[in-house]
Amino acid sequence: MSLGKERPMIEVTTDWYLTLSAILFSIGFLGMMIRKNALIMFMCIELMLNAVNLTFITASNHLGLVDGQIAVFFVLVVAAAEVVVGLAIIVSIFKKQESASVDMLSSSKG
Amino acid sequence: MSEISAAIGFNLIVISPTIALVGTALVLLFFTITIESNETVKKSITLIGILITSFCVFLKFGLFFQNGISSYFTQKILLDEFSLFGNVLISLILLFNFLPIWDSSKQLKEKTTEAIILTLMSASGFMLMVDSENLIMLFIGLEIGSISLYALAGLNRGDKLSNEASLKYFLLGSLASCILIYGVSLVFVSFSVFSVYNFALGIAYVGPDSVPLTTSIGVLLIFIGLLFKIAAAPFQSWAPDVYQGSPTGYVGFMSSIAKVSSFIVIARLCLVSINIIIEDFNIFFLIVIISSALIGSLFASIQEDLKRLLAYSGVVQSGFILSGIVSGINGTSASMFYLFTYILQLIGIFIIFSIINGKLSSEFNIQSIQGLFINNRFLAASFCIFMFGLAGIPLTSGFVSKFILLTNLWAYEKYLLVSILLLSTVAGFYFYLRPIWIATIEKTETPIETLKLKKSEYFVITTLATLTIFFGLVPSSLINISRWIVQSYL
Repeated sequence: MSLGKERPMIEVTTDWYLTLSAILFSIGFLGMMIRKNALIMFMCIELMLNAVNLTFITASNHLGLVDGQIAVFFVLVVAAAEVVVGLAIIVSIFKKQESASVDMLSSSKG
Repeated sequence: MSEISAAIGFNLIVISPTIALVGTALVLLFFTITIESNETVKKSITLIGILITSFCVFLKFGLFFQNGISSYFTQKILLDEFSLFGNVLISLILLFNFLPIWDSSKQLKEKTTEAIILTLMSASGFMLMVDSENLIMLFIGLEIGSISLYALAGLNRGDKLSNEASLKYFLLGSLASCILIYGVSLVFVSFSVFSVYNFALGIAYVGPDSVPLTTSIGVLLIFIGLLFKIAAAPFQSWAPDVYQGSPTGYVGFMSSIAKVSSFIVIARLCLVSINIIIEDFNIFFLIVIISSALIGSLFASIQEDLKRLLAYSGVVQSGFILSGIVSGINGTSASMFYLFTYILQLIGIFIIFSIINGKLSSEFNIQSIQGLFINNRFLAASFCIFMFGLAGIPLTSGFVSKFILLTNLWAYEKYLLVSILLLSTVAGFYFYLRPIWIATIEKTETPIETLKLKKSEYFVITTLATLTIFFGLVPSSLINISRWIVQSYL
């Protein structure tokens, strides 16, 4: 019987969470660079902001400070405000060209 | 109650400019949705609001001379020379840009009030940003300001370029904000502080040699976020498209206000927070400054659109200002002088653009100013003064600011930077003087017809041009002010 066999316990430390948030942030950043759809790019921004939130919560849990958790609220509020303005801009573009791809937006070449 | 307020540093005068701006926006909103009010009422409310804001900045000076450098609201708001300078500059930007903003908004018909409210809200956010001691406060101020600017860029919904500018500005601007706040979170992880002063204490406590890696990366990310906003290369890719696509009447406001507040925050971070480890970031800043000077001059020389040209010229100027800030205290003082004169020239040139090209237009081909001199002597003359100022021709403030900055850099023994910046100045003579050549000397069959200017437009343009010449001839007053800004860090 393998029931009584002791398995090595892996302790999930603060480092794990920080690494996870760094990975999430990088995924969001790569998505911003690679994907062409404005809505997907928009979701990548949200992903990055949530990675930041995870960092704040981890730090505040590790240090026993409440500051980080308060910062999360501000980041959330800012994210919500960005959603409102960003979706309005995307909708106004979508009305004109029936697509949210940023490839169509090449009238002005930088 | 009063003990608690004293303990947390509750003081409404410190944030009175922000309150005045938000209050004006709300009153304007109230008048628009409840009482059928005409244009004159709204215009006077806006103007009075901006004047009250300037008066509140004046009150802050009184508080500063009474208390000295002090922080309020449990180390959220800082009152120092930089924040005062930023407040003064933002009020000046609002005052000088009031005319183009108002006229552009009037042409938007039913969206007039929206546009004005967005401008006021944006200014209030940037006011908060230059006042911030806390890094979260900085982020919130930046976002209040920027989100309004994203909407402002896309206000002219019928125009495809305007939509495009708005989306590009939004996506890249939010990316920059994300990077900035991730940097803040990494700084919080390493020292568990948000205040810029406590951050400096944390670095001093662990010693400059054993600074954690998270701090270095965090500071780097904060700087990248801020450099996005000032459009320094290699983070400049949004600037030309946004400048070109946005309604011309707003571009002067958008570009100057974001630059002023970001530069002031960068200066404070460099002088206060990371003062003892700034050598670690020398290579990063060197790359940014050199690429700004080179990429900016190179691309500005091949532009056929005047607004894009100004965007790339802004990249070069950002490189100049940044080079002073990161080199030390005297350099920062020179940069503040440079910032002031550059902002005046930038506002002036965009007011002229909005008069020639129409307030809501997007594209502005360089050939369309052919023969400006023939029928519009005043506009052509002031156009030349601002362009000379940007290029750094003697007798204008641009020359004095470049001269002071480069001599300071020379004194810091940064010979490589000086030579690169001189090179970009020489390139600047080409791309700044080409529009002047086209406007005044080049022969044309169809010169621009006589444009009718309002008295107020004459007044604003004359003031800005006079200041550009004045600071070129008598720079000592402004030099004293820029010395005063950094005096407490000497």
